[in-house]
Amino acid sequence: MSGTCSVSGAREACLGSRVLCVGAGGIGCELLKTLVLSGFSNITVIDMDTIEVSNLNRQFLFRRRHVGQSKAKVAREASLRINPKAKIVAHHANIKEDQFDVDFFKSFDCVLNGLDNLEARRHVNRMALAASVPLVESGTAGYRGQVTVHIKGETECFECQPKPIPKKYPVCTIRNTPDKPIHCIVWAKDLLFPRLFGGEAVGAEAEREDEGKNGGEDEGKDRSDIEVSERAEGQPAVEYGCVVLREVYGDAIARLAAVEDMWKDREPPTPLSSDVIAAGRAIVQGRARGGDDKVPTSASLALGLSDSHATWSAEQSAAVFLMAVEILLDGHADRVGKLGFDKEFPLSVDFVTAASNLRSHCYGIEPKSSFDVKGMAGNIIHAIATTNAIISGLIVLEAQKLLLRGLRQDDDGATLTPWTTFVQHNPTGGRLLQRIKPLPPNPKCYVCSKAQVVMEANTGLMTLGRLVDDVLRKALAFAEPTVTVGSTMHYECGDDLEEDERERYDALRKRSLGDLPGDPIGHGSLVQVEDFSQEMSVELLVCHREPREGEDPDFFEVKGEVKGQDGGRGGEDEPEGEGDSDSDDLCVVEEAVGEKRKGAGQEEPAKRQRAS
Amino acid sequence: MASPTDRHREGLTREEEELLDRQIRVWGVDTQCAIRDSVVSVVVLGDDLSFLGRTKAEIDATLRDMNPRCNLIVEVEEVAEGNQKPSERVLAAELIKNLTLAGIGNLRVSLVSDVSRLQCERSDVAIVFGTNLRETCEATELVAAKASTVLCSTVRGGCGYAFLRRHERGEARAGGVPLQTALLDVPAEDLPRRVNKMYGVLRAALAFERSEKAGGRAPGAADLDAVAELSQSEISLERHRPPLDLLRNYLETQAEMPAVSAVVGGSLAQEVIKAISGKGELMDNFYFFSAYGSPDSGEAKVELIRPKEARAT
Repeated sequence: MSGTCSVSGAREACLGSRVLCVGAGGIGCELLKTLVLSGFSNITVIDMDTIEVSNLNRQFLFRRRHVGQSKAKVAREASLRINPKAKIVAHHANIKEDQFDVDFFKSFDCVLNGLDNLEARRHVNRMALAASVPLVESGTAGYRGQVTVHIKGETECFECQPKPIPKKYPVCTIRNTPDKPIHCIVWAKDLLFPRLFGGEAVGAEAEREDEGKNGGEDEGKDRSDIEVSERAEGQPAVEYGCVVLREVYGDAIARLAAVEDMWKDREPPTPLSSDVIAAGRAIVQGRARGGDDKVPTSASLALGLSDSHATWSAEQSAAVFLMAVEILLDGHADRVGKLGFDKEFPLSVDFVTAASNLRSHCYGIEPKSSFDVKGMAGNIIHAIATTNAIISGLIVLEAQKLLLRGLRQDDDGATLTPWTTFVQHNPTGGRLLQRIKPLPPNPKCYVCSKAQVVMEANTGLMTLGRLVDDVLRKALAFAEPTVTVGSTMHYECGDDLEEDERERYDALRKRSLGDLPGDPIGHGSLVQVEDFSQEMSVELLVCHREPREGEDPDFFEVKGEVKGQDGGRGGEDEPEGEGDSDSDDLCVVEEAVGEKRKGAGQEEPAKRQRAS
Repeated sequence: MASPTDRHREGLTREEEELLDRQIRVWGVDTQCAIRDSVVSVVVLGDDLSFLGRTKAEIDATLRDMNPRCNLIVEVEEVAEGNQKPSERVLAAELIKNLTLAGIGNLRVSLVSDVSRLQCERSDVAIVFGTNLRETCEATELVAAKASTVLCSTVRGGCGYAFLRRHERGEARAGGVPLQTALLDVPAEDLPRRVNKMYGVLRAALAFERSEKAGGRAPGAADLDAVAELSQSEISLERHRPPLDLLRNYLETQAEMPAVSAVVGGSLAQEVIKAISGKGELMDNFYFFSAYGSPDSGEAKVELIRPKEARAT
């Protein structure tokens, strides 16, 4: 027992152990530093991202000269400078790749997550369960953070509790009846920007309410039905921009406003006046031009609008719109047709800010600054170094306890109890770090408790393709599902399929569940779903029902502790604010910026929401 | 000291905004400007800043590389061969790293081994790190004369604490008692009913350092019995006394458990930012955290501990 609860005991636990760090971002950088300082000498780190400027405020292993390089590899080099004796293997790769299979996970004593998205978290959770390796999960958002320990059979797994559903917006609201700034931002980002500068318009946040109803035949269809003329040969970009403004904000809005039925309960939009467009054009033409031939990196800066926290007038928005169109079409001609919104690409932020604010202007919605639009369009999760540092310390403490448990079977266990710990900005009950015991496994969890999952759907309409893509892959997070009913295998995937098998499954994907050959899927069917890459299987009980009034005809509803992806239902009443961050962090709970210090005795209410 | 919101109206450059985007979204532009314009002094009673470097040149280069915009002064006292402190100051390195990343505009880092040679400059916030509690008390009082907010902090083994002393225009505010007073001059009836067990550890350790037997040195593993005895005599109520395991962990080594330093260093940096910005509820006046050895290990607790008469002022 000597040394168990001590510095020497903890160091002893680190020596010779093998740990896997998933993520080398905000938490990952801090974690690697704390691990090598603590004596961990056998570390594998995996991260698929490259370093960006906006990482440098907290990912302290990186410098400006590293921008564009692999996070995992640069973090490895920097960590080795702290402890040259450590053995660190870095993979610039996606944790979901085949090379990181169950055997790979089995080669570690402990898995430490510093991830930034739900999908990867769910995958690592399953791999750790399959490999029977304990997982220390973590997340931060601004001042708040959380560390949790998942031990197979002893504590709940990452998926035992429902997770927040990412916000989506109905396409009809986005296209026709916006009433919030976010609706205009999603329209500008997901519909107009790709229409002008990208390939297919693929709305990440606009709900697919009118798709997938025809046997999957609409898959890949361009959903941006914004009517815009093509740019004429030799037409100056600014002139073309003016045409777009007239067509999109003038003509289209006027047509929409004329649909009287639509505006019985709300104010119709007002078309953008030609004066605003002319004023915007005059600002662009009157701008001071630089002496060099360099392509401006920002449309707003080129027009002297340097305060990213200011909101632009309609005329200024029109000018930024035209300026961004000119720079993108002429200065980035080789990328036009392939561009997507990128929060780190100032021109796309400028364009989306201007385009959304002009739409807001038409609909009488308050405009937003480019700083705000960047945050909303980019789903940016707030992040600071201090919280990441605290979280990294807590992860290592939990890892050391896990390793000590393996070394010290005779320990009374009290001092090695794993904790779920919450980091708070202001003391709650005097506590800045609040700990609770992790919950036991949830018997209803289909991931770790093999509970049956119930799916309600219209089996006459739902196709096998939708079942595989939207239910199994998205809602239930399977990576490579096989679908079997009775003795009939309806679907499997993988690189090793023969060509004729692939063709057969592609054909079956388009058929409705009730129309599948052999053992069709109908009311009461038990579907066996297996994923060999995750060593996981689930029994899916299908309940056929007709859609309720007002419900999407191709609805589906998955029942059980399975939320975490859109389960076929989206809408206005879902909570806002969730989204993947650029790096490492996940949403725990929002806290207002600029809150003044509270007086003595004023306690902040405990907000113990679960990370992600 | 003028309030941050009065002083900082210049805003940020686009380059600063791009670099600091994620944290501006947390605490706002006004706080970021206050951080940029603040003066912070860090005094380390030791000679090794762990992952930031050992020598003045190393530390200077690391911090400038991390934040080239910082007006940085690094002072490292030459230590005679054989007089070096035995351990890396991971906690101090954590705090300095966190503040540098946050964008502190004016940072003075002083590594000294002899408190009497400490040169204090005026600053908004000063933080003192020392393993020896007696020396830490002394250094904290020296810097308190030149800073509005003073914090001191240490991690030993898996045990960490921080202490805040705050002034307004040179006058002691309620709660602004010195560390030594908060540790030694608070009668049992003035302590919270359930005080964190780390308090008893620190109280016994300081009593040991002040004892004739110790001659001013910090206790080590060999002093467990003596410190345990002092915890009995100095702390009258059983419920306030530290468990032996916690005392053992504190005394086992002067080296820091890096994971604990990361936790305390992150919390401490956040308190410095609260002090600079005027936003958030500052820790007042003790912060305790231990990894093992006590029923309250694993939670970070803020406790206000001072003599009753100090509360009336």
